[in-house]
Amino acid sequence: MAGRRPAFEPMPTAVSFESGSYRDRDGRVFRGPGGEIYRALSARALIEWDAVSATGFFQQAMARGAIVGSEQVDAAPAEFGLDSSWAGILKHEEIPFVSYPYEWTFGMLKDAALAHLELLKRALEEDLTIKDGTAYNMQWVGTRPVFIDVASFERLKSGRPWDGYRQFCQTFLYPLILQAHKNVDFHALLRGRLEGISPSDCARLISMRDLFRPGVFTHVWLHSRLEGSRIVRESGPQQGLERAGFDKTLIERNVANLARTIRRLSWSPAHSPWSAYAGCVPYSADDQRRKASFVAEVVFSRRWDLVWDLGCNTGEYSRIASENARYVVAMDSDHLAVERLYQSLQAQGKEARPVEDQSPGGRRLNGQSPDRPTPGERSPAAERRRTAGAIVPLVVNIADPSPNLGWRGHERGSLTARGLPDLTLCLALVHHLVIGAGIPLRDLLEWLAELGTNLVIEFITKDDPMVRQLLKNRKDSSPDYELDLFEGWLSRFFVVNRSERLASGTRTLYYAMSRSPK
Amino acid sequence: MSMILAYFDPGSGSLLLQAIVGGAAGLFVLVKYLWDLAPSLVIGRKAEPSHGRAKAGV
Repeated sequence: MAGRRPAFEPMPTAVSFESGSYRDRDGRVFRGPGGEIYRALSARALIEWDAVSATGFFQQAMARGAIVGSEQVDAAPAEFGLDSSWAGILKHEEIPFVSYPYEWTFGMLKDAALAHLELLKRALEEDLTIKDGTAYNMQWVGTRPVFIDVASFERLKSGRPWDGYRQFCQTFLYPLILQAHKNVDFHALLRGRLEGISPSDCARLISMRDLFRPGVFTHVWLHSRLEGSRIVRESGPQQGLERAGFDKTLIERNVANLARTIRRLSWSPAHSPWSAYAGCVPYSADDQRRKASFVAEVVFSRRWDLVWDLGCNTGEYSRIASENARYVVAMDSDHLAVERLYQSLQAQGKEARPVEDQSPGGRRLNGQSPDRPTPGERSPAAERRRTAGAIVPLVVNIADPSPNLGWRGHERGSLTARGLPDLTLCLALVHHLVIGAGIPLRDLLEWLAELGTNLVIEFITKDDPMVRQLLKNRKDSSPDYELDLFEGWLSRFFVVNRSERLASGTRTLYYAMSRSPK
Repeated sequence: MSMILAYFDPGSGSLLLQAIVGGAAGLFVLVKYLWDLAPSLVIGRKAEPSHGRAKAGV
């Protein structure tokens, strides 16, 4: 569909639109002066919004959190510095930490796909459709998938197939199929091309046997054969299908078929390099208790807004952090470990806990208020439940974190461009980054300091059995990996608040504050 | 890829596939679609240009 024709603007607009929203000329996202999320709507999009937002489907989906909270604001576009070509403004609920499909686990991508299809199914019942089908229109609040592109909803036009079907296949279905049937991690493929995996590329990666699996023959093989086929080239399927009687029922059948196909996909490898870490870690029970206690003491020393748990594995420390933080991003490079964390959080219903009120009248979130419950006020357990934030698990390799991608290098932000933590947990990770990935120790600590974060970090000496295992059959090319050098660099970039050597003698924990806070 | 394919919207095939996965009703639509298309396929008559989205390029 042709977008609205932009007027020549002799004066530049005062608003800087989010770089990731450039494709929809009828709805651009921008931030307000206080960081609020707004969406400018063209006159055409405003008409669609009025029609869509009045439906029971939309209101119900928004109430249960399946669609991002959105409301039209009374202010005129000009009050935001927008030119006269914009007709209305929406204000959106903020997503605590933006993530992308190339950082999600198989289960997350699958649940996001099913949530998207469920929304489309409900929308079709009220003669609405979603004009896009991209996974980038989904975000996470904890482990709850949320559809964010409300301008994608529009009234269904008779005889028109679902325009988002191809995008859906490329960013949802094909990555899931390749992971489930071929055990190929989809992250590099999605990160390598934001449009996703093309039908022809997916078809080349599957085997003859896979053609007999549900949905593969049609959605992959046939789809790839139709790309550029003579039949399609010599006709205009859009007009031809409308003349031939294409109607809503066919979209509903396609949606049902896709949902059935995706529900049957599963990925459950027996193990990965890290999935059994918790079961084999050579900690004494006392060391484990002291480590958890050290982390808890820091977590409850004040209220935290955003916590990063780097190398989270089973998420044990993410869970502790979530008890006194608004939001926790749990990151690990091991797909299976993060998938198990996601499934475990789902099972616990952690996602049902709403992110705390962020309104000015709501609870203070800037970490300035001491948060330990006073005796007699509430029981500690009740207080923890009340203040606990959500955890979003992500597949992120700190040695190769998500970069800026897409148009002008800003369509999808790098990890650090999407919000910096005020507390970072870096436990049992330094040796993997320095010895395993070859990152100089000084560089690692400098990078952490640049985050402007408070830091809980663990250093494990080369005498430790786990580090000895890491160095086995490997040339030790990390002469900088020594305790005294670590403490020197840590003091250079951070103010060390306290430290504790665990009983094993090979592991030391530090709590430090960046010398250049954000 | 030939020059002509570079100008061709790959999403057009995705639209047609939605009739194929539509069961019996979809089959009816597909047959009617191909029947309408038959003259240009058999005789080689040039069909009307597609109004599909063109890929950006020169």
